Amino acid sequence: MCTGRVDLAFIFRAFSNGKDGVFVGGCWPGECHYITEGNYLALSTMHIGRKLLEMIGLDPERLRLEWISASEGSRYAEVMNDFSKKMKASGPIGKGEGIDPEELNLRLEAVQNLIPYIKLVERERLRVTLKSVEEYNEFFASDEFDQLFQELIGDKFQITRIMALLRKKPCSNKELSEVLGISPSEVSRHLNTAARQGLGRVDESRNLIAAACDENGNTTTSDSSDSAVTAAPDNDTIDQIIHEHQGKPGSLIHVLMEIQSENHWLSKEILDRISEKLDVPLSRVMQIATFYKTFSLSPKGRHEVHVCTGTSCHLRGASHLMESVQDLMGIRPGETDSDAKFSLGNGNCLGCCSLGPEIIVDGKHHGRVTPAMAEEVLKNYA
Amino acid sequence: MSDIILQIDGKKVIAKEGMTVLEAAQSADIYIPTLCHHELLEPYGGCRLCTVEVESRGRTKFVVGCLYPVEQDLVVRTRSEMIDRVRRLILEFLLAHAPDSPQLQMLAKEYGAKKDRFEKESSFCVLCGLCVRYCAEVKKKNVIGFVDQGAKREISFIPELAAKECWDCKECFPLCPTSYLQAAYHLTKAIAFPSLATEPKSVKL
Amino acid sequence: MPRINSATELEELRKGLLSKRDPDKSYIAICSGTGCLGLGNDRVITAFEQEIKRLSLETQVDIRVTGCHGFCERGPNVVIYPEEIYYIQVTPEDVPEIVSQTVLGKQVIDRLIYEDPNTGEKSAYQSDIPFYKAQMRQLISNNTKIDSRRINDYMGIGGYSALSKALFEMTPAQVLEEVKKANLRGRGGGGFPAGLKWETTRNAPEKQKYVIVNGHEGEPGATMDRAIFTGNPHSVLEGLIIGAYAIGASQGFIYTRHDSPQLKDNIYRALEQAREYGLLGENILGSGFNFNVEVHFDVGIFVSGESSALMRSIEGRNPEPRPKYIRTSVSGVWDKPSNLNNVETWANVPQIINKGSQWYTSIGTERSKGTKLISLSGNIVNSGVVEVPFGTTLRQIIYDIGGGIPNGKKLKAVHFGGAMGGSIPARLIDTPLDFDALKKVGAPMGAGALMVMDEDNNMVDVTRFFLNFLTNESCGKCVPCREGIRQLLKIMTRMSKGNGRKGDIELLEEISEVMGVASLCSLGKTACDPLKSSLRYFRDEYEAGISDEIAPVNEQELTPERV
Repeated sequence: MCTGRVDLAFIFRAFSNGKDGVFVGGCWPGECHYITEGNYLALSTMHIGRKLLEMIGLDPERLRLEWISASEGSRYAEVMNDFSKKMKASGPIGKGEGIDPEELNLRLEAVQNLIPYIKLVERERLRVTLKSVEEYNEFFASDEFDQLFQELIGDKFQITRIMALLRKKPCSNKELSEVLGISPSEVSRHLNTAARQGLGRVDESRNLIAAACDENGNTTTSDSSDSAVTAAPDNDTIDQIIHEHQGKPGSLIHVLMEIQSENHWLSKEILDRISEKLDVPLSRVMQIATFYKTFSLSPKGRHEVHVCTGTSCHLRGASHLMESVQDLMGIRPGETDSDAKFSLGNGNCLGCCSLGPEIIVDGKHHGRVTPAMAEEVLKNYA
Repeated sequence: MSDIILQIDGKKVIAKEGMTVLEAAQSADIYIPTLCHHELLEPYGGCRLCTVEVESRGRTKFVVGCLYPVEQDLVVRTRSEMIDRVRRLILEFLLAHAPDSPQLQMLAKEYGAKKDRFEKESSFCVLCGLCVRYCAEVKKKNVIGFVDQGAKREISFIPELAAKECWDCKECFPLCPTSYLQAAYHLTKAIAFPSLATEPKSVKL
Repeated sequence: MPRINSATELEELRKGLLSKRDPDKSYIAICSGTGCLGLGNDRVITAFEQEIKRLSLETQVDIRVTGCHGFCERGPNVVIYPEEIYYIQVTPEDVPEIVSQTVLGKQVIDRLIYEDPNTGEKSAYQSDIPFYKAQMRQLISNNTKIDSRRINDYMGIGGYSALSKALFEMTPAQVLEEVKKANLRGRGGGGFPAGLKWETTRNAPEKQKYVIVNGHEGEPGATMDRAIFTGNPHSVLEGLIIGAYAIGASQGFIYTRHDSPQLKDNIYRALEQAREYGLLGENILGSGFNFNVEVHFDVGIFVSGESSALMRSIEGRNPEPRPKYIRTSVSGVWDKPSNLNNVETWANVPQIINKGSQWYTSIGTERSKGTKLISLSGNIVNSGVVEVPFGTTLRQIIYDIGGGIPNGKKLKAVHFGGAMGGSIPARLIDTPLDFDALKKVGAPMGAGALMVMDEDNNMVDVTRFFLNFLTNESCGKCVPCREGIRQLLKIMTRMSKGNGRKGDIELLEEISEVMGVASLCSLGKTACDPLKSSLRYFRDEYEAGISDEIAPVNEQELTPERV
């Protein structure tokens, strides 16, 4: 069969079955008898496959593509000997890289689940138009590719992993960060994305996050024993707020705002409930809840820190202040740290322009703050 | 409803009250390019490709054909240097997202839009909203919606609804000018409900 | 509170209030504007309350927690009346001394009064401080006179007399005519004549009409609407009711910011007080006119300041701008004719009715009448909220009132109108404050946020900042705005790093032209205004960002040591 027919799914199925290496061999580029030139597709698949291996911590050399025509028997032998020698040296899959077998399976499973998506991404975003091996090598080694890969596949892989972990049991940001080997800041960013897509539920009192639906897409209920339960506010409060506005035109935003100010964030359960009680489709509730900065779909830390990024504060050095606050907290705007101590936001102009640049912690203004002073300000909060 | 007579590209067009300029043009076989427009759906006015120039009560302005209502004696121009410039740039913006979309390529050819004028963007969704609106207005399922705003805006499936509703529908897939919708569905499935069999195990004939 | 049932009863109530008041009684006006509160004035307020209580002076001394005085730079501000002694940078520790020395002893405390940093000249009284001296404070001056939480304070300075005059001495058409003759122009940005807008709504065929206060004030650096609305909410409400009467609306909406608890409280309180007095609701002041008001809060996005988006938000929908080609004054909230004006515009209405259009048109320039509130910020010695008549030059605002540029730096540019405004170079600061003159030079006034920039600012960086602000504020529905801002930002980011490419400037121009023509709403249409004006005046800085040359920038120099 044509090398172009070798699907990413085949390759990763082999790895999932415990194979240590996958070799793909076929006609030389430019020697295809058909206009399809499938071997370039194989080249693309190989580059992406290797990048995926790297992403999950495996040696990319475990996937190899070589051009060997039917008449090159001796070359075939040479290449195969070399490949098996290299694979021997690399050791068994996972073990050679020092990855726990169970963990490796989870990573491979996540990649396999993503393959239908990755193939579409490859076709739309990662395809090289010019058919030359050099062009391919150049593109797949470029920063542009790295960035696209990270945004379109790397980040999605992490979210896939996170959701798979959360389906097993509720976890904290810290646990996720440890298991996945990524920073709490990154976990917080992914959790925000997940929340905006209605994927997660949060147990605020225990600082745990759980999946919103099981692997078959059935909604998980919050009262099952191992699933997270939302602590506050109780349903009565929410129902009362909804009741007050029910039937009035324009009620959705009011309800969202009141619950937001009561609870400081909007959980998936709350959004579901609003959707049901107000008889507004969930997708519309989600659209509005994600549209406005005021609404938070993830719980905040104990202290909400804002650095004003209004024009006047900007002219007075707010961007430097923001950098130093980010360094101090180890998170970026929109994120919450792993201890749920601080959430960071870039605040809109609050009209205290003569105090700029300023840090606002839990509504209290700290004006005329230099980057060096930021630590002093934050030190007072536990 | 009374007839309204207007002029499109120098041609006299008779329209009905309440029609849009786009509808009037289409009824007279005058072509105005569109992307986010679909006759089953409410006008949206998002892509702005159908921007035309209208002259009304002595004033000239640029409006979108899919929304602008016809008026008596309205003078409409569907092509001009400025209109072409608008359409070209809009296409170039969108080609940074979806250079391989056949629909965009066809229009790009007409307006001389270059597909690599802007750096490649990671998302290949053009946010025409056809899927979102089709699901809401025609299917009344509201499985897919917009989330976020500004440049961060994207389409998003409600996972638990997608798991139930989409496998035997997917009527929105062919509406998508790119293959992002399909990708977004597969992504949601991979993230949220990987074990759900996409298609039924046995197909009833 | 008793309900007031006629114009006479209103005047009697006012007389009663004034007769009980000793004009020589001391009162302490403590600013609780956003700036002073941020500086800890809440503690100063508490300290005064405790001190007055400790000395049992409640009957002799009145404490007024007021709206913004304007001089935010030197806050917390405290004024001792009737002498009008103005203290700056007051701390709770100063309070006992102020009470004993100044309130009781009538002595000025030297260290708390204003000293001109340039001349060393001291000013004990508000009217002597250069910051105040050069202003014409028609609207904001009331802020120091009243406790923003008390309707009777507003009554005491003539509050609701304009409403009574309108309802009992004028027909709606006469009110409309007066506002038209006064040539009151919208203070929110467009400068559209309010009277004409009112007329359109009034003449629209639908019976149900709405009037709306736009208090969203999303423009960064703009704080004057908050200053008025928090400090003197009844003045806005009075203007709104008069407008509703002229237009024939029985329902009004207040759309305002959610993020200021004080603003929220003051508005709700004002509405409640007005209802109790019979100034709102059924049969207002016994005139037979009915009018109600509902409050809506923004949820934190600038695009909702766009009028049609704002109305969609009142309807509880996503505030994407409506895609129809019908003016909101004809078909707005729930497709009913809706007249929208901003806070400051409404606040101007009572004085026009009270003092007449002739008086009003005697202030200002030929085509811009009255006074304008300006919030002054950025690289300026005296930041704060100021009020000047139209026709005042920017130079007077920046130097006479604002005290010039700090740290011996040179003025480089002034920016008006926030993220959709424009910047002009220092050489144009003799331009008068005037809707049309400023628009002509490329710095349309917008809501009136005047940002002063010193020589260390790079204009590419400043413009990029505005665009960055807009990426987070645009709704993302239409392609030109969403993608245009995205691409502009990319180009300008590489330019500000000195990595601009040849042709980038032309590309910026092309994108801004297309956005202006094809965007769905005014946010997209005007998003490029800062870019256009800075390209017009500071093109060299863009050119410097191209190819290998390094822009003579920028961020490194924006060190906070200067602050």
